[in-house]
Amino acid sequence: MSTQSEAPSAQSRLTVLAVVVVCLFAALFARLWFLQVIDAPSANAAAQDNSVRIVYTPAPRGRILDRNGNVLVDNTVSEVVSMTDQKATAEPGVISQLALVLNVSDASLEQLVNSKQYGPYDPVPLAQNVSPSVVVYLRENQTAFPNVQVQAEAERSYPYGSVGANILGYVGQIDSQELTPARKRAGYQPGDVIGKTGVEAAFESYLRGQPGVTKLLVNSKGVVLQTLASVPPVQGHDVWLSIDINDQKLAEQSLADGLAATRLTSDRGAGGPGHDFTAPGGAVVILDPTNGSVLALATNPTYNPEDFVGGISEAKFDQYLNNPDHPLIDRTIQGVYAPGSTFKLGTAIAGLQTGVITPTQYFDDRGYLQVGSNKCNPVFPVAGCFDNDNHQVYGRINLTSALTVSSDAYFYQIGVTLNDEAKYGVDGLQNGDKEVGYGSPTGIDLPNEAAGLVPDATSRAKEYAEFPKDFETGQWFTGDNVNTAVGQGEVGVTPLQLANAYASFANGGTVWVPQIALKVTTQSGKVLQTFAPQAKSHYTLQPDWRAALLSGFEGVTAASNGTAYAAFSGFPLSQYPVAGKTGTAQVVGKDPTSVFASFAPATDPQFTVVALMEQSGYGADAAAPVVRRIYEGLFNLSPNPGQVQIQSGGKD
Amino acid sequence: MASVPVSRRSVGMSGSSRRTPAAPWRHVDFGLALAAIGVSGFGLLMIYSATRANLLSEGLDPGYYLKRQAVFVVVGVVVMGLTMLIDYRRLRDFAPVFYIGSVLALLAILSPLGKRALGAQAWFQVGPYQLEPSEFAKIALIIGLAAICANYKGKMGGRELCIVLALSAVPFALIYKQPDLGTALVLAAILFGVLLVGGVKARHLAILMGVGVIAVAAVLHFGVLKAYQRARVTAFLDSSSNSEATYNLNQSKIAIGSGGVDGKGLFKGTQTNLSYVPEQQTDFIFTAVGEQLGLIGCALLLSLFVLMVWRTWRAATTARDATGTLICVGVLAMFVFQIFENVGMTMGIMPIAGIPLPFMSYGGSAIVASFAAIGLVLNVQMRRYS
Repeated sequence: MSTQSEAPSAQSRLTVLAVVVVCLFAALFARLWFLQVIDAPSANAAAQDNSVRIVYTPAPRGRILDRNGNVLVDNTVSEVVSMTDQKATAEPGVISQLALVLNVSDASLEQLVNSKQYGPYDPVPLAQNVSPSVVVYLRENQTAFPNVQVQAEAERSYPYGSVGANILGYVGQIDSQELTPARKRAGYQPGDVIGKTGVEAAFESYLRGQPGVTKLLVNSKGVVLQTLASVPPVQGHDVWLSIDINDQKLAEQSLADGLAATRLTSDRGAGGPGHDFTAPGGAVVILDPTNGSVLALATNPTYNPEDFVGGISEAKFDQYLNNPDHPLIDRTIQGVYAPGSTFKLGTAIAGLQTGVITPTQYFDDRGYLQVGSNKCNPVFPVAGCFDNDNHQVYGRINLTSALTVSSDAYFYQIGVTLNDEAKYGVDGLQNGDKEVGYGSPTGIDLPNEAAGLVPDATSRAKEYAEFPKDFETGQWFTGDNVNTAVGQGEVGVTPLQLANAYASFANGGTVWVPQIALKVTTQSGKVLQTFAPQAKSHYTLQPDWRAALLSGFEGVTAASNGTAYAAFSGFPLSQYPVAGKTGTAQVVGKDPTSVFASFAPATDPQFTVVALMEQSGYGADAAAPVVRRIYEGLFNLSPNPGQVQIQSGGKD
Repeated sequence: MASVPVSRRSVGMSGSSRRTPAAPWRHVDFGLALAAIGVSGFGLLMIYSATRANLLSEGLDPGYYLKRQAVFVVVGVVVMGLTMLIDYRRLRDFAPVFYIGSVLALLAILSPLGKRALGAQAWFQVGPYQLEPSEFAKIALIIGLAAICANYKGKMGGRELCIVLALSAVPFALIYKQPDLGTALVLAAILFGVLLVGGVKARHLAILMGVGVIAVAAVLHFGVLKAYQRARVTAFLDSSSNSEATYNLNQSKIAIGSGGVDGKGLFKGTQTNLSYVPEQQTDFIFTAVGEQLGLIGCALLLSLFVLMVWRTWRAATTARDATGTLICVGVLAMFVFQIFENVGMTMGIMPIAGIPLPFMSYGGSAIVASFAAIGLVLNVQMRRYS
């Protein structure tokens, strides 16, 4: 062995080896320092994230009750099977076993599990309303279904079915648009249930309650080892409505019956081609005119809120959306209609306030009104000539009789006169209409209320700028004012606005903000908040004006020449005098909208009732009988109100 | 062993041995032996802490892995003692037997005799235990390479190098075929260490390293690796990918990092107790140290490893002959590579490869082979004067 020459070489090579080893260990120490000192806080947070799972338990929502404490929306307990971790349970064995237990097909379950709607760690609901035996089986075999959990969840139930569905609204899973930053701060999670429409949406903050928060220690397989902290959910508060469920049922039933009966009636009497009326929908509003509280809001057709429980299927929702009669629309606050002659209340107020008419003045009704230079003919239509319905000639009439018989000419004249800007200012007519509440939302505590429209030169110019093809010019003519005076043309009101206008007249000139909610109480019964009646505005109504108008409205039902005389024949008007006004709004290409606006008893108004029925002919024929039947119910005149007696060939 | 007839004897060696029969035992490096036993004890505690909660949750004996590993450690210590008994120069004479024996065992593994599990065919079932020949092949290769390279007396030309490479390639290929890329790489590390110190020309070493780099690149590029292997190898380069390997690596880093300086305390690590780290009692045992005992525990463990490596290096430098030096170098290369690769893997600076952490990871064959390796070093060290 030539150790002399080899030794230094081996030694130096060993030194190289030592340097390499020192470098490697230095690298390990450096990395260790980085991970455990510099990066420790974020690793700690990640470890927390890993093992601590925060589970929010939605609180049962508060109930919704009517004014007498009848529960309109309640909760039932439903056992919901959900999967907490989509990623981990993607094993086919678990899926098919679970499908067997839940009695669904593998494919449908797989589709649910892989639904992109949920985040990778959000629980995915797989089955609702699971039977107790399945619940027990899944709980006992938790290890076989590592990420599957069974939880009792409160679901909405509707003791009265679809009655008042439009008012109550429905609930559904919060969507990305609804999950605003403010809501996130309030603790909303994806998948939470939220009020989508109606009272459920308007009073969401009261109804929602406090979700329970549970912190769980979870191992890597998703098995819960320990509960670290738990705050139980607190049920939401109860909301009491001004609705009387009996009145609501009465309104809905009367409206439905009225529409059904109308559909069996020929439209020839209303100047139609002789088919039966289609009467596809309508609305009824019942208000308490003394304080604006809402007793009933009926819309037809409507939907079944139970379809939305536990999430509505896309097919079902599309079916509702694509229905040409729009069952999801609440016609009472979202339907905008030409009100026809019922609008004459506003025109009369405008005329009286401007002094264009007085209660004692007489007017010669020749069956038409000539606007412009063309000579009018009682039989043939002439441009610039505005006729009464059926060319009726009423002769010498005053405000009272003009309302009773529904003379258009009388009110045309007001429209013509008030179009004089120099004398009555801009919007002489429209200001009166707006005073009784038209043209702006009533402010009812329900979402998505329509504003309606009282057209004038400004609105015309604006619409012309927007849709130049729909108008010949952007100018406002006297004829437009004439149409507006009788609730035709572009005039649009909601049934609630119409009812609120008549309520304001009934109570002497106070326009109330219609209120649907009376109070909010806790589950222990403590009153948390009451909603006092709120006056929106007040207008001048001299006693002699009111007397003249009132007797005109009373004459509608009581006088033999009143437009709704036939509809109210046999009704105990001496005991319960009904003040009302018929309306028959022309709709291009369709049968007219039948409207009746009223309040009773006329001497001491307790109820304002408005009925509006689409494509149903004269107000006196379809809407008035519906209102009559509602009064029969409201005044307990017959324990079982009979059929709605639809009239025919009636009056405006 | 003693009954095996000796084919060739070194007269000088046996002569000195006879003169002072007790002399080698006076020079035993107890520090190294105690460090190895100490790390094993530490490993037992970590294995217990990493498996206890999971076993309990499955209704099993929480000490299951602990007890089995304790048996392995005892067997390992006995094997270490036995390895020290026989003079390494006599062991060197049996190098061909060890080499051929290990190659046959590796061949048998690939035959139907071998047990197949987790996609790899790597062991024999011996009663309730598994025997992993690849672990012992490492020891056989160390002895074999030391013997042959010492024989070249520091003069390694191209021909000699080729013979060494060819001899190493056989067990490498067989282990790679199992497939056990990690252990195959350990063989490469042993080869590298022995060649470096054994006198290979710097030029050849450079060529070898160049070829190695190209081979690794080619393997990654041309998809020789199976998809999961590739994911494991590249996971540490790309922490944003979604593979299982990346998940494992992230959990591993979280476990170590969340331990901080002083750790969460024994049995208090959420990552460890809730089994977020996969294979924690075997390849990822270091994470149990990191999470529960923090930087202090990790530094203590690494220091013990440094102590072992330093004593091994000392043994290499003081060895009486080249065989002894190269045996120590082989053992050193093996341990350093395994420690660096394993700990580096858990911290995300090395690719994921199934290599056990010496004396720490759960596994009988690895523990026994590691003790045998330390036995070899002690053997060389105690006979530096004889």
